Amino acid sequence: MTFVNRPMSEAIIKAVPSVEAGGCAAIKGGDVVSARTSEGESPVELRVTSFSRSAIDVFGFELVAGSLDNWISNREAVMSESAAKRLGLQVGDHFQYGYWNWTDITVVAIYKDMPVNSDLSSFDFILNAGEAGMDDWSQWGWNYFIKLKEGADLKDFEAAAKAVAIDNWVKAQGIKLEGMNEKEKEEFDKGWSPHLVKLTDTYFADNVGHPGKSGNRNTTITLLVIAIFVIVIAFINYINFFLALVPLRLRNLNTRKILGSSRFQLVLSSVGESVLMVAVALGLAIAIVTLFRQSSLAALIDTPLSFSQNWGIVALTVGLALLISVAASIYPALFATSFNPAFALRGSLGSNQKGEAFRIGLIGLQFTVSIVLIICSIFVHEQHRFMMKHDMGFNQECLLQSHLTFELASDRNAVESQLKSDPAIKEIAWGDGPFVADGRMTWNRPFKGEQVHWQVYPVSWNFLRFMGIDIVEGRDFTLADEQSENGVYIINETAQKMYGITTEDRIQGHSGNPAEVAGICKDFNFSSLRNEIGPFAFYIYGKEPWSPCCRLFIRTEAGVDTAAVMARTLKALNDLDPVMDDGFSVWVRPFRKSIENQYKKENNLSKLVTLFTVLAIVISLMGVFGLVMFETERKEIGIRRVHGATVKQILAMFNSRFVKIVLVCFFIAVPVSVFVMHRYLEGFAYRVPLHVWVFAVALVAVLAVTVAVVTLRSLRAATVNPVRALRTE
Amino acid sequence: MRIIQKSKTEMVSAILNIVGLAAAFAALYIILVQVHHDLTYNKALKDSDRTVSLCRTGRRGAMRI
Repeated sequence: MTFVNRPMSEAIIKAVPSVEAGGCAAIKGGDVVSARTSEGESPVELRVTSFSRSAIDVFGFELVAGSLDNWISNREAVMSESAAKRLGLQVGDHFQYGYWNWTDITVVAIYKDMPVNSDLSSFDFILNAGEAGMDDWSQWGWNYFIKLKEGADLKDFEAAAKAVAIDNWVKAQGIKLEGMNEKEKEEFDKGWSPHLVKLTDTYFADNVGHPGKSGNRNTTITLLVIAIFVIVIAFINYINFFLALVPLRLRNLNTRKILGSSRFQLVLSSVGESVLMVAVALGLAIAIVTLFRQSSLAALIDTPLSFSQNWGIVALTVGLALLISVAASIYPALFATSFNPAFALRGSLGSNQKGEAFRIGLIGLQFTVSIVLIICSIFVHEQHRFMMKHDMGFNQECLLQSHLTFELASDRNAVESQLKSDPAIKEIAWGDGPFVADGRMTWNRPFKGEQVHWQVYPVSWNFLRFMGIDIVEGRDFTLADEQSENGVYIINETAQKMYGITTEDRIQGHSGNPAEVAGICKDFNFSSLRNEIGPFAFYIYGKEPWSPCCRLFIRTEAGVDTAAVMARTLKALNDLDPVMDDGFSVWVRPFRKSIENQYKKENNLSKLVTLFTVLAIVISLMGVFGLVMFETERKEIGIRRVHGATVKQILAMFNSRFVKIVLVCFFIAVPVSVFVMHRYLEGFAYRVPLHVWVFAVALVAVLAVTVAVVTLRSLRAATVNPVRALRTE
Repeated sequence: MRIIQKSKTEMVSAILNIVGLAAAFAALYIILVQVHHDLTYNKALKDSDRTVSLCRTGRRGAMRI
């Protein structure tokens, strides 16, 4: 959305002295095309992009063969080493790629593959972007990258770039800066400040319109926090286990001490035992990761999980595991061997008050973490559901979409009459690219001394009626608009309010001449719900379009078999353009699919958080289970039973102890989760409120499971014949 | 009898602990791989710290009027 135009960018590269190299590079995950070495060969899928010659210098490509001297057109490719190997190509060889139809390409150079973990690995071959759009100030569809000289200051460069941009724009458009008042000048200035994002920061930069892969800092932090939570919970269990063992071990260890073992030996054997346990756990962990990689859950992680590619993280995990094993076992072992052995053997040092409080504290920490995780996972899930269900302001029912070739899209009548012969298809409309998207073509237009800046979506005349978007002022598009000389706008309410445009106004269209503003339409969500609604304009090109609207929207009748309609439509489209089944594959999909894809990140996060929350809770409960197990072994129950306590009373005693812990933890967990979720939800312009029921659900769930575990476990101990219980202790 | 009883409790608890630890280690590894990917993205490129992507602020700034 914040792309730049070529004349401005080229001027900056040329004029600012701190630039080492700069050029345009369409880094956008690479368009997938079919490629084959010759006719008749079975094609493979490759990803193509286009760079200007100078962009190659920006990224430090290393050529392994060929040279860039003859790389001038979009018929010559610079190819990655791995792709060249796959196709068996050398410098000078030819291959064909299919997009609209087969195009012959010569390989002029081969470069060493770029780091996998970067935007530069998102394509397999590069065509030369050439001179297209070089003088067009209105084409804001280019991505430019600039490498600064070593030690150059970013702020200085920003200021210099801005001056150059304004200077060139003013010259190109004949604007008079002198005539502006202060406010206008300020706005003008603001509109022309270039915004620079370091390549190392693009991944987390929000909304800058960097076309490469992007992530969300909150998601990464959330994941990291969860990882720490999970490991802390497991660590606590482990410490608790060793602490609980102390009273049982005292006798054993101290007997050995009397028999001549040194304290060092005893501690060492305890630690050794612990390391062994952790080693077994690590082995099991490898099995779990392997299972995870083969399951559908692996799709939640967008990078390979193989151990060989992540040896550093393997080492870190193993190191942490060893640290945990030693840390958890050494203190209890030192404690147990710290007494005079004779004293230890005689007395009951096991019921140590301080030790117990410590253990309860650890369990409390586990409960707190579990409750926070439950609350957060419900909110993340609710936010995703909310976005999927949100009324975006247009009709998504029975809606299919497809993307056609230029050739097909320029003959709308042929496509429409063919498709409408299917009785299941009700209506057809056309648009230029995806309808709901976080970025699209944006135009800057002068209007009453101000710059109007909006996203423009070229459509067919029936589009608004088709989507059920109401006109609040003026008129809808008509068929006659398709024959207009200079194009026609319909803008949304936000654009109307922001710039004070009326249906009487004329604003420069695609041809450079003023275009009519036919009407104002109701606001609707044209991008994901992370963003607020900004100024937006529907546009009809009229007689001379820049390009045909290739996105096809199909409304089917209600209740028809959608899969069958999609199959029939696909076949009909393929019949219309036989070129397409050769290489370029046409698709037909439900519109909802694109909405789902839009929120894939949130969906993935929701699944991951839920997965690890369940894990954390299960591990916590294992700890509670273990603790209750050791507690109920004590004489306490037997003695109480002998003194006439009923099973009910004993259950109540144990339960009330744990319920109290859970309640205290809940009151600690609530503010923590409110803080975390407030931050997460801030990333969305449209968000769910902090429902009270979520907190209640988390509390009830943890209480219920805890009571169940405690009851089950202590029931066994309480129903044993107390005489036997006392004797065994 | 006594020894068997005790070691049984210990065994069950030890197994629970090992399983819990294993799950935690697996989770840690999986998450760290993703986090590492996120934190090092584009950073291995040559001179990536002085390479910038050129954008315009215009839209966001202008929206606030």
